[in-house]
Amino acid sequence: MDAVTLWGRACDELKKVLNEDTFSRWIDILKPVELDNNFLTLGVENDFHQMWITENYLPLIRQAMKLAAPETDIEVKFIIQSSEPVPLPVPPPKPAARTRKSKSDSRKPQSIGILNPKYNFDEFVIGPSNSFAHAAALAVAQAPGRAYNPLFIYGQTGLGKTHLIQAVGNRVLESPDKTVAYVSSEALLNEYVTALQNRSTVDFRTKYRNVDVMLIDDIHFLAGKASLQEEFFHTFNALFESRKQIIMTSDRPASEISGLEKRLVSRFEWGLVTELECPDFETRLAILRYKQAHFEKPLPNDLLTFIAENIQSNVRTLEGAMLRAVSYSSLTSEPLTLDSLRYLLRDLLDKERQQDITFEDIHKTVADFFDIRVTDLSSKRRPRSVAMPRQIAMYLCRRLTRASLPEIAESFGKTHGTVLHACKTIQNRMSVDDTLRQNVRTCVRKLGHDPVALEI
Amino acid sequence: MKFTISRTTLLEALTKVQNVVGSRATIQILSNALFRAEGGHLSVTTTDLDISIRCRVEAQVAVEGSTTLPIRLLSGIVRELPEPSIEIDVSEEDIATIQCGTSFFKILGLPHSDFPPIPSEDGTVSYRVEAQVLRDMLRKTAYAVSTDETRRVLTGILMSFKEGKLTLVATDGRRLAMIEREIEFPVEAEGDFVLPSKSAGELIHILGDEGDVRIFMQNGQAVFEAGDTTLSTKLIDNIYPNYRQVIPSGCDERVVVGREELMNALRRVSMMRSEKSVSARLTFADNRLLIVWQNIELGEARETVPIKYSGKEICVTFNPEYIIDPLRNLESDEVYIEMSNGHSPAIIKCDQPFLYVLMPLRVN
Repeated sequence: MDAVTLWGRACDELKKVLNEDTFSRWIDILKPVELDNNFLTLGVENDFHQMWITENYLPLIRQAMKLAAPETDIEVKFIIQSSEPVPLPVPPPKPAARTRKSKSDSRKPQSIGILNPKYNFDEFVIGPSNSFAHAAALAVAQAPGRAYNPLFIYGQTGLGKTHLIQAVGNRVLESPDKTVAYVSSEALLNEYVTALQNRSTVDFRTKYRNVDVMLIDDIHFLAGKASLQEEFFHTFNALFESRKQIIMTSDRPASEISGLEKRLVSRFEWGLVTELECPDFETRLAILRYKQAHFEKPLPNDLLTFIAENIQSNVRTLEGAMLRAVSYSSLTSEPLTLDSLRYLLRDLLDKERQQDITFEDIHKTVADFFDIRVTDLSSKRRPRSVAMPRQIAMYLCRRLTRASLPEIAESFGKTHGTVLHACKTIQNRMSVDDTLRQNVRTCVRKLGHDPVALEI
Repeated sequence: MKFTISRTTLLEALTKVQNVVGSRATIQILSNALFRAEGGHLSVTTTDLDISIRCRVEAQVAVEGSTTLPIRLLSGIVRELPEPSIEIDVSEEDIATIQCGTSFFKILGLPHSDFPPIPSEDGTVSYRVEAQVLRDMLRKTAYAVSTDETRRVLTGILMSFKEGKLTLVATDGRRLAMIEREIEFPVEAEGDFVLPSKSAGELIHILGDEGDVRIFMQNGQAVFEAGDTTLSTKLIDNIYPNYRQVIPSGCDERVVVGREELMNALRRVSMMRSEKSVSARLTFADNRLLIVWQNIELGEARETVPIKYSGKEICVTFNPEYIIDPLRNLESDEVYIEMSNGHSPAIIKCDQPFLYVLMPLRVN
């Protein structure tokens, strides 16, 4: 069926419901232009006409379309066909050419937020842990709005979310007629609050609804901010419906962000969801090798391997560790050995270790500290020299692991009541017994945690 | 600069001009008002760079001069002052001392040279309208403007001086309000202007019952001069769309209904308004209008209003807010609602040259 026939049939349906005056005034003057991919394009005279029709007659037209072509789902869109100049505001002409260096230049007023030109695809080291996210981001950058929309990237801190999202922005900006908005949810919140205070929410709205690509960093900050979520929901829909690209990053999957409305969660999961995982050893080593190309004095391979082996969770820390090693050797002009590197990075290594403390770690640390045997901790004997370290160990198991009371109890061969009692006792005694507190704190430090942060 | 002024006179002037100043002006000088004392008069001017208002009142000027003072603070103080006469003395450093009975205030101002220049009329009066008439016309249309900044021209009110008539039009895409009055002006002064809605609101606020407004139109600016108060504003420089297209040429049925009865009934059913439910169903039949608001979450409201109507039954869904808006601003006892069927636009008219087109809502 072509556009003219389809529209003719729809008009017959519309004639039945609308009176003659309305029909000739609003419907008859629409001109069918083309039918493509289930989209019927109708020509309207001007912007005002288009607005009046979309506001008031679109549901009726849709209904008539369904009756005219029951087997296919046809959407209607409008284009303005007029020989006269359009009387309504037209967007100001966009700058013809743009150099990549002028990212924050005032000459391109339409892009919002400042992108770091360093974050581009060339600088991104690809490994099995991030290749999927990288490929998705690249695809989106090459065809914004068409490849995957929305694109949702999540992963723990320091794994390259911001790098990827900004790389998309930088790539899109290479084509002169595209506009990009890059904003973190926190900045978005601040702006929204200011807009509310100044009663300029309309500006806020239009600002973000007219970009080609919207990049939102750290979307999990939206959690619990109901009215901003509402606003964002509409912006999201407006962008999505006009086929504009939306990319978001978060530190966890959308469904796990508590305090995020369900309708937003479902929209975030609509397009492609990719995870940035912790890089594996080879990728970490590749990142270090790539980064150290910027330094004058490269580190020997065994040191790089040591860093890559021991710092696993976070690329940012990885880079920091290498920077520390490089600056040490250039500042002291002493050759860096494996031992001095180990000493140099001791706090980072401790931090890495604390990631997963096991009962055994705690048992061993406490037993070492109080100079007793590990087996004493789970024995039935109850002299004071054993009972107190045992209680400390139980307390630490409770505070430093996520294990349940019965699990802890089992590791000591006791009942959960005993563990509960131990935790209470230690907690209470610490507030009066300073020596005890110091002992507990030392153990905590040895286990690679910060006692102050844990309020011990 | 030093002058003595009556408290009520000063307060009146401050109230007229202070609305222009936003509660959070981005530039500090814009939250100040410009005070100029000369030759037995004090003039107070405020601006937000788009609109500026100047009000001139009588004062006993001892020393002539100019300064700028924070207007909200000052009007707060003046409102609370105990005595009818106030003496204000401003030093060279723009520090104002206010003396009134037992009260004494010291306010820090800013130099008048920092205040943005105010556009002035060039002397040729373009139009002259009775203040009361213009205020009334603005009041009956201003509520229908769009708040969507992306269609900027619709956020303003069209003022069309054509064929011996002044026509005011406002529309937001779902409704349109139009009012006409015959006024006298030379043929060569014919023209269309789009007045921003904030300026319209300010005009309604400052125009009184007596006297004429002189209107000067020049390069994207309009100046309204009413007695001692002058408002100058930027105009929206887009062409207003062809609004006549929206007005149906004729309707099949005509309903006569008491304005206040309908308005009060609609207000009562509006208690059922919630975020998800914004529409009520109106059924016109047999000299009776039945208004039903069903809200799935809250419940239901029904009102019956006596009307004069004996045509076919018409059932139509509206946003009642959109009917209350014009009713609230009209004065006549009866209004006429013209309709063809539940899908066609309705027209509200009264015994004045006023017309309001309202589009029904579609509910599935």
